[in-house]
Amino acid sequence: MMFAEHLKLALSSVKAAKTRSALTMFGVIVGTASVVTLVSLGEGVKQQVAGQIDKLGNDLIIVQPGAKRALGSDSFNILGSGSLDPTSPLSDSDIAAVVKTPGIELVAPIAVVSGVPIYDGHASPETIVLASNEHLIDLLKQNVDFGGYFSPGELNKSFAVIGQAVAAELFGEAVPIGRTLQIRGQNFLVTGVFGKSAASNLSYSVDFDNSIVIPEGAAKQLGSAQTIEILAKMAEGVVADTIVQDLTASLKNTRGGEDFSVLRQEDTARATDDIFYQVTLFVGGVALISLLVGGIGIMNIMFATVSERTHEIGVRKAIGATNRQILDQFVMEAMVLSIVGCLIGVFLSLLINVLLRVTTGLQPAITLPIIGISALMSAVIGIISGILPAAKAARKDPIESLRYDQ
Amino acid sequence: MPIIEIKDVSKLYGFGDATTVALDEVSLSVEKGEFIAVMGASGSGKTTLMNIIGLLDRPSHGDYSLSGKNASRLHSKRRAKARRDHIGFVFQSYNLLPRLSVIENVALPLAYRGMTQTRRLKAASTILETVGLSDREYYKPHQLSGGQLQRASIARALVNNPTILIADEPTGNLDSSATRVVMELLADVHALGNTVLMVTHNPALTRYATRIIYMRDGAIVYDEATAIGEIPDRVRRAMSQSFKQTAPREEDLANVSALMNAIPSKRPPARRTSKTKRSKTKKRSKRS
Repeated sequence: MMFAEHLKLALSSVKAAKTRSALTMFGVIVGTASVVTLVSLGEGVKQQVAGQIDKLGNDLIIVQPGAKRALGSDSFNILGSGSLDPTSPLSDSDIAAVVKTPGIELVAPIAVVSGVPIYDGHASPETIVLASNEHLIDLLKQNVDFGGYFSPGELNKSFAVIGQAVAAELFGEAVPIGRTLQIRGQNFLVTGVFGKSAASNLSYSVDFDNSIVIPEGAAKQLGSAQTIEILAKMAEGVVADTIVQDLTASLKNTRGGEDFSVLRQEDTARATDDIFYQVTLFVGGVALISLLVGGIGIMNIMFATVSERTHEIGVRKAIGATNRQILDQFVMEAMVLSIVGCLIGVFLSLLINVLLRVTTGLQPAITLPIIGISALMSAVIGIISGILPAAKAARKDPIESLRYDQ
Repeated sequence: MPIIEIKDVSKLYGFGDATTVALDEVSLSVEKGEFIAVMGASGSGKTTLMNIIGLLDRPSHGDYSLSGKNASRLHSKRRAKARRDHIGFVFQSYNLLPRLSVIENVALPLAYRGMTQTRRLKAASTILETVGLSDREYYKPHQLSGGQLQRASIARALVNNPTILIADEPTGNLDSSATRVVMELLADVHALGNTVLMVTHNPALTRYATRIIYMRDGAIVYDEATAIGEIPDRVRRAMSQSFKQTAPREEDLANVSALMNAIPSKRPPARRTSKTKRSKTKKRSKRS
């Protein structure tokens, strides 16, 4: 009963001082908008990563040179870590060991070829040249839009399957199939163009858009390939942990030490997820400070309101309002300010979300929990910032207050 | 059983040498249905007495029973509830909340009782009809004249069916015709069996009262029963003396001073200050 009454009163006093209320709410609006936007960015990343796991499946194992470091520290990109690692690259015997491990169905080594692709005198230094076998696209579930990927029988041929960005950059056309490019002076025939790569830099995959993949046999002839990674797919129904253990054991044998890591797609994706979660928490925490400042703004204005309305408080007490009822009235007013501010802030962040999706590659995701938590947060901020001024109002002496000039 | 029973009530402000006595062992007993006019100079303790009776203030010493229940040591929450249920206040400056409409103002005490809005507004509407403001229900206070405002505030004071109605100079801001209307209304309220305590500076208004109390220096110096429609001789004498005064703003003040002179005093007359000063400054001036 009193709740509805307080709410009505609060709304009317907020309306009575429009400019002041708007300025007061501004802090909360900005705070909420930034918290919701930043958290939704993190949430978007999380969803992308989850999508990646779904897409690649749970059965992918990755072997990299270099000891396993803290989870997530090097897992942003499949090419990012192994190639920079000072330990020795993976050898053919390592690959053979992986292939021989029971429970492994498909194996695809990835080697980096140091060389710049050249077409018609024009070089493309940003393009990454990779060498692999016929299983690569199956393992990473990458499709080839035009032409085809090389078959098991073509591993020694000078073929190249290129990414869409490479096609545009190097050849200036979408489907340069049949053209020839040079790597380290040797000609390679473009036989296929990859489909748009779904992989962002957020999870374990290859950025096929900017890559050229050549058969591993051909790469050997160039003599500059270094295997930086072995992708392996587990057979169905095997226990992943056992396979990882077996792999580790046999690789230890061939390499004579544990200078490598055996990772599962899931691990790395979760790790990425984890990092982003922490980044989100941190950034969200910073944004929370702005929300806090907004709350202090409300508190400030509530103190002003309370002393302005001393006379009103006196009248209300004279006609029988208890201290508690006065307290509730002013807390409610602060809550109205913060909740309305929060609603506007959430709306604003929805707009920002749409803008981000349209203008950038980011895919922020506003979920109901985010909105729910921010609503809860603003209610809490309203209560906290309202309670001190309201307590001051409630404690006022009715006689003194009645005497107070309007 | 008296409705108000005050025994040796004192109210002191300040400490040590700076102590000011606002009420000095006042005893008063009021029966149901009395209409008491409380008179006295500024700073004589009228308002302090009303605040204590109205449960806005606590006595420093002495006992106060309202309807037979001790009310002198109530906790602030209990006092608020007792104010809500037993006391109706009418102020000189009306004290209606400017942002609420007349009917909302009148209904406000019921809101603090937790009554639903529909019932509240219905009750307020009924009471506004009795004070003759049915056609002004949804006006804002600033759209009403002084007389109308005071009638609205009387309606607010009555909406809870209070045990006592306390009116502190209800006509202080009104011209003579509005004063008449408001006083007739208070007389009607009294005729319905309500107990009314009214502080006034205007001796002519004592004709509505059944009892007149004069205060000076925090004490009741004179307490007389009177018939309705009659102005006691003392007051009449005081009034006739005051006709020599010409300045209209000073009229009330002059009346009182003449009145005070006519009353046998137990102390030398206090030096009075301007009536327009508020009670806080009154106390200070007394202290000096």
